[in-house]
Amino acid sequence: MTQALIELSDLSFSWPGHPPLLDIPAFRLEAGETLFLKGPSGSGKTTLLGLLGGVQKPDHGSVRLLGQELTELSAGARDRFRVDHTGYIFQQFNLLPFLSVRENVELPCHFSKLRAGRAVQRHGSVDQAAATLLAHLGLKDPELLNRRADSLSIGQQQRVAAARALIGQPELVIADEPTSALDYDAREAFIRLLFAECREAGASLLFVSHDQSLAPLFDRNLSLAELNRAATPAEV
Amino acid sequence: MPRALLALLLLVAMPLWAAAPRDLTWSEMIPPDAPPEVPNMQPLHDLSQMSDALAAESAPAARQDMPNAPVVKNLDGQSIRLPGYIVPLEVNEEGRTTEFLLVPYFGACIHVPPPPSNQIVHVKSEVGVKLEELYQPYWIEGAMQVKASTSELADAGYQMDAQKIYVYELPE
Amino acid sequence: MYLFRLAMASLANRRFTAILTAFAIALSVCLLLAVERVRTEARTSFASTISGTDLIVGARSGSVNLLLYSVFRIGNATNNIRWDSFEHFANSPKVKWAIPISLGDSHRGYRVMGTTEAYFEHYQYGHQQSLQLASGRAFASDPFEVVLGAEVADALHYKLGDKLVLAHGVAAISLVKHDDKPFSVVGILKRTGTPVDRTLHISLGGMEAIHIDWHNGVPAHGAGRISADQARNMDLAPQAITAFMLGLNSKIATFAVQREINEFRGEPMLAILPGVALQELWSLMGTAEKALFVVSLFVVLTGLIGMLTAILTSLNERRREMAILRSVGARPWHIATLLVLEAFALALFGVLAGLGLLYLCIAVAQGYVQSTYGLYLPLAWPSEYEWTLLGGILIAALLMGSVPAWRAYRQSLADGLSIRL
Repeated sequence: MTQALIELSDLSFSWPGHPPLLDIPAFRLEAGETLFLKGPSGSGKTTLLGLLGGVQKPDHGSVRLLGQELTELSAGARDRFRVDHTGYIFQQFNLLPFLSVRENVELPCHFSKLRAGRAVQRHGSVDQAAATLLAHLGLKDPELLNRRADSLSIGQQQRVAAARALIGQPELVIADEPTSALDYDAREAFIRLLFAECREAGASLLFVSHDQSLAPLFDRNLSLAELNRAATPAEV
Repeated sequence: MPRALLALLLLVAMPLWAAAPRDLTWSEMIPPDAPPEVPNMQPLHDLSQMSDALAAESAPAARQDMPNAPVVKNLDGQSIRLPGYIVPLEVNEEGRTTEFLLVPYFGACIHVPPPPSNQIVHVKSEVGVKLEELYQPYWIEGAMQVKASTSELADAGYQMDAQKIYVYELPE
Repeated sequence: MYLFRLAMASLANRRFTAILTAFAIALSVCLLLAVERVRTEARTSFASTISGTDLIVGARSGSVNLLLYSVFRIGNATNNIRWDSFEHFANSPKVKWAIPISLGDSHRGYRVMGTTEAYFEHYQYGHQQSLQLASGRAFASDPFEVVLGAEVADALHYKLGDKLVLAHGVAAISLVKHDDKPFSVVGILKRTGTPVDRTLHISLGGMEAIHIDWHNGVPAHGAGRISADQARNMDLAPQAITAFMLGLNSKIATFAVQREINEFRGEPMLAILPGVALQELWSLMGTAEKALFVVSLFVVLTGLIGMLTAILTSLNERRREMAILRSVGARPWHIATLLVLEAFALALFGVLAGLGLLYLCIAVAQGYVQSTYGLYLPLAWPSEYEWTLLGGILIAALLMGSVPAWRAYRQSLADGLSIRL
């Protein structure tokens, strides 16, 4: 059995003073896999993503990313591990409005030497890596790259966010409702672009959303309520 | 050749210069055989003498002679250090006094009879001392120069070029 | 450093608030430095006004008062000294030179001083610098000659040969003038940077001449009046003077001569050592100066607190910014550092702008301050002390910046990657 990208076992977590939010006996994500995870807001999906990113520590259980047990690392080391190996795309407001498009994409490389190194190795320079990724995602115009990030349309901004998540070939891309702000037609196109880039980088994609219509596009389809023993009946 | 000899002489003299300055006390500056000074203890504000004083002030000016106090000639050229209070004569732009009189007690210029001339040193200093800090005593280090009295016009006195000036701290 | 670039870009995004904050700091820094400069220059100017004079003697009053009116032309004497008292000491074998001075008149706001040629020969200022004539000569035998200080000549546009009328009393507007006895300008002194520049110098004979037909403070009328020519022919030996300066043969005799003068039975007089009286003046000024300094420090503190408030208020809007940075790999201490850098950058801009503002103010006001107060404010680089003050302000800003930095640190830990909308 090859090493899983993500492996959770006996995970439990509750916010202080609240009833248990997450109780997941087992969960695996393989390398290169695309997974659709259904989870409405409030079901603990944000917390789960936080645990996967090492932002929070579970009360109990193990979180392994690329074989590394996250609970063993210090907070600083977890932060470093996260940026070295994970890229994030959020629903909206992904970008720093006062930086240019290009600078936004290059951000992870300033905080992770590993990803900067990989980008240079693959494309010759971080600059070039950003330009190439954006071109693949349909943003070819060089003039656009230097514009302020908040001068782009929502659809364009989401694609820039995708480029930022993918620069430096992280092994895992986590997308938290990235298409909810896009109109219907644009959604599928976005996901196809995302798939292509993930495949080329060899990255796994964990896609969280409540829009069931997109599920068939993915390798696997799960719902958080199934995974989570602590899910309330309303969610199931 | 004479130059080399001079250089050799200076080299020999160096240890003399390098020796730590000797501590000097104020009493040493009065020759042991000097007649005891009778201080002019006329108080300025003795009210019982008021009528006398008022009468005296309208009288014609009386001449007052100040005898020159004798000096100790041996001290000339000695490298010494002497503690005292600073009375400023010249003040430079930075508010430091570079030429001053060194006296044995504070307030020498205001309310008490002034010290005799063999208890005053006329000091010059390049660095000087800040005006605001003259309420405390200082050590002055340097070579003492003694000028003997020749006539009534030229006052006898002690002079110094200060090499080092630093605050006088009471021994613990 | 990349974090600094990020901090700058973020600040530039909030340009308006940032500029206001930096401007507030700039104003307070300018105030602090201006106060310090004026204080330092005033002290320097006082300290370099008189040099080489061993004793100043006046009618018995207070020592600071005597120093102020005789040297700085500030305030007035309480009484005069008889001429024969002056002569008694001027002729003493211990005295090398003596300069009598007589004060009490004015010309268009500038003080008039009666003295002898000894003044131009023996009076020194700064580093034992003597007075020098820029043009003309000192007054001679004719009593109606005047030598002008540099500022008087410049401000009132006088040149050699001009005639002027002196007034009684020292107010700027004098109602009783000696206009029947005009004085002619025979000399103009070079600039000294001391109150000498703001004085008109006449001979003691001149001083007597203009008062010769005054009785009890009122000029004579009609037949009682004496013309200028008549005055020239009369005996103009002075009867009383305001004060005199002494240079002694030996500095060690200073105390003895001072004691002799203070105890003089002919007349109540006070002799002071200028250095000692200056020391007393210093301690008087010291309290006021400290108070002023403390006030301006508080103003700077206010400016910095304004900056702190601005940054704290912006934190809420920037939570999203922080979360994005966290998601791309910024650790909480990166976020904290960003905020500290921001505070530092704002303070740095403020300090530099404050310096610029200071130089602007000095350049604009220099001439006015000099002619009105006799104080010269140089356009010099900041002194070591001023650099220390500025450094202290920057450090204070850094410390202040650590407050929002800490809050942002805690916030970013709590928020994690979620971008709360």
